[in-house]
Amino acid sequence: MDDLRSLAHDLSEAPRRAQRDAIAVVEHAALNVKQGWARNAEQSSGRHAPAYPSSVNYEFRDIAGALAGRIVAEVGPDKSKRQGALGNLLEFGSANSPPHNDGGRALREEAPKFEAALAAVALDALGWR
Amino acid sequence: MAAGLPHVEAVLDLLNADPDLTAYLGKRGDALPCVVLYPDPGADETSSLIPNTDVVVFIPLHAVGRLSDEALYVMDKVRSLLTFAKPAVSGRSVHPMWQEQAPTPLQRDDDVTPPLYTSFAEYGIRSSPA
Repeated sequence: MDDLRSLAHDLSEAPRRAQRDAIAVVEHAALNVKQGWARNAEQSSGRHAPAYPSSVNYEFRDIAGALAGRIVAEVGPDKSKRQGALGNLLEFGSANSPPHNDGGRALREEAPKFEAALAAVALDALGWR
Repeated sequence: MAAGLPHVEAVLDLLNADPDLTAYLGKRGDALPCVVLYPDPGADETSSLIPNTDVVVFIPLHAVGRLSDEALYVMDKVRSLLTFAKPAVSGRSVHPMWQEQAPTPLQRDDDVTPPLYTSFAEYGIRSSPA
């Protein structure tokens, strides 16, 4: 009976724990995408837009929302920083400029690690790992 | 090591086989509207425990038109031609293609004369040894 109570307690705590841990996972992923984006940008446009890579940043869009389970981080160039306004042109290109896709490539690299980390959060919350 | 170029050529052939579409590689030509592919060189990737080598090529592209609806038409055409397509690549078994990044909103480029409308999207193609 004690085991059953303990299991019931673990299961009722699981969503809270998963939610808390998921915030850290999302922040870690956002940081990795930011760093990957900046690294890609240094290679693709570092000569022509040397300040652009350091304009890439991330932020939680809604801290209160994250605590309530709506965890959203936004990664991208900050237009208020030097050459940050070039982000749209560099990322997606124009009629005569190729797209650099620096952020897209960074996101793709991070996606499988992010998915694995979220799966681990769920397993940890249930005590299955 | 398998090469990415045959995959890109197969995609170009598929797009250019459509009489209403002109596809270019790496640089826009004279024909408008058009689609311009900017593929990466492709990467080897093992996708399962069975020893094999898949090749994955990501193909960012621009749909370009003089008018906004031309660019939208091209993007629609590209979507219908590439999504789930399996272009023939010699010696390879091609998996259904997919859209990696959805199209961006149309942008008007006033740095060229006449101004052109563009939209960006990205597709992926994967193949295994036949």
